[in-house]
Amino acid sequence: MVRVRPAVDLSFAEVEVPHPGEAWRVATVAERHGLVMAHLPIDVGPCVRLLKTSQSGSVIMELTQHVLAASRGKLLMRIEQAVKHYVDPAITVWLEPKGDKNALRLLRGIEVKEDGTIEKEPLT
Amino acid sequence: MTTSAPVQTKEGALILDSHKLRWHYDRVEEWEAGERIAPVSVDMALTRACGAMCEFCYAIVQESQERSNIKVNHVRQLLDDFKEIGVRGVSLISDGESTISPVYVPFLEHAHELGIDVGNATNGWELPPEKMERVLPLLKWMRFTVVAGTPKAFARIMYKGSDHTQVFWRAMHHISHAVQFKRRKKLDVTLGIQMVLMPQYKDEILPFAQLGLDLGVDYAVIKHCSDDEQGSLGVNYSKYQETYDMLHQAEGMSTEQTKVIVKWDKIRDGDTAPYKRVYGPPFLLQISGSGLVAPSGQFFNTRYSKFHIGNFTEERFLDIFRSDRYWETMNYLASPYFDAKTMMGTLPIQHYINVALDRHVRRVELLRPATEPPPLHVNFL
Repeated sequence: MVRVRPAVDLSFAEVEVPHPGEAWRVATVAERHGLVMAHLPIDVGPCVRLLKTSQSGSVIMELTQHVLAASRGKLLMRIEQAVKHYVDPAITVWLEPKGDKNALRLLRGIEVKEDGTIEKEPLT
Repeated sequence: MTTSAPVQTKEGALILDSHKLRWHYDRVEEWEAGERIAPVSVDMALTRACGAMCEFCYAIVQESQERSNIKVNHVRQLLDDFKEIGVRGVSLISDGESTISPVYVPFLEHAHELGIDVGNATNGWELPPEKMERVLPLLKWMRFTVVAGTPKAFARIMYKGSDHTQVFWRAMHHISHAVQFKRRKKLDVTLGIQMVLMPQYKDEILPFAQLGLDLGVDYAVIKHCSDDEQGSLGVNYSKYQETYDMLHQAEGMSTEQTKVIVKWDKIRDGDTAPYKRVYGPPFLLQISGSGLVAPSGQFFNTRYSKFHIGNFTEERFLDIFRSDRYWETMNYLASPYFDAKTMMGTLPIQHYINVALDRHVRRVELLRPATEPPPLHVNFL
């Protein structure tokens, strides 16, 4: 059955991603945080904590409670849509990354740092 | 770049450095018409655990919020759902060593009953002869990760250190048994070994190719190493060029029995995605060994939670597939808000089809239905 709205819209293959506007780029860290927090959907506020924002438009959050896989994508998409709509269309929402839990691999010197980045020691 | 020639083996044409979308043109047409298509292929794992410690392992950067315990009833239902929607092939690769899962054999048996093709990439360490003989008849292909041709380098890169060569000999024993068993029983299963090439492993290229010949597998393939967009694995793509001479030499070692194949397209594309949008996941979906369903393995990590669609241990895959969230996520990757060059890692498993579909959509190179006979493993895109 052909739907009125296509399952996947193929009309953006060559469109460039938006870049943050001046208002976002010149804002201080505190101002950017304030802008994001002010425009979170009311019901999702308690579920997330804002950790970082960057001039390039990325917003890093963490979930304050476990959210099932079926719901967390939708939750974060709603947040991103709201912030794109009210603050800047170039903003993208991500969560703090998690490091590998594989005990064996960790033995070889892979370290997950506090900021979520992964550091590996060269093998000898 | 999308049409590297198939490699002719004793058993048929083998496509490893390209894609097979032209043999699934029905799905391309439906997708282009705006329909919700079922994946042709699913790439998944039955666990996130692994007994190896590979230096290049992408699973290091694929940890999501939970690691669900995948049980037999979960995989039976999953396969039933695959069958109902029309999934044609399942590759057990993804982010864990599926052979160590207790559901591994039941999964293969049920897929076989349903007529879904299955292939498996594995280190082979947990496939002793008896287990190997049980599973090989259920598979279309089995590909062993053999990252080096010499025991010490193998143990250094894939395990605790160069003194632990027992893992090399264990793998060789199992692979060798698989080759003998396949020949004895005339099984319709392709056996290969794969080297995940980091530029610093270049001295292992020729020993690896020789090992493939010595083992008598059907092919020995050399591929690039993927990395995430932060470069967490430290892959230096600019150094691959220094390996080209050796890669050509390795290809030249091919025999009638064993083809040495280099995935040139991926190695040359390096860390630069030639597309802005990602169209491949509706055709080739990935599922984590944690049970997580996400469009691509590159989005398994918690960081990409907005692309997490569901978990098949928490709800039926059929319900996930039919949900609006499944298609909203696929559509996001096709939207101007998604930038493949900066928001995902290098060379995902869907790379070849991402390239082909992007060129098709932009009318640079139209996909056409295949007129030639299907290649080996046609249901694995």
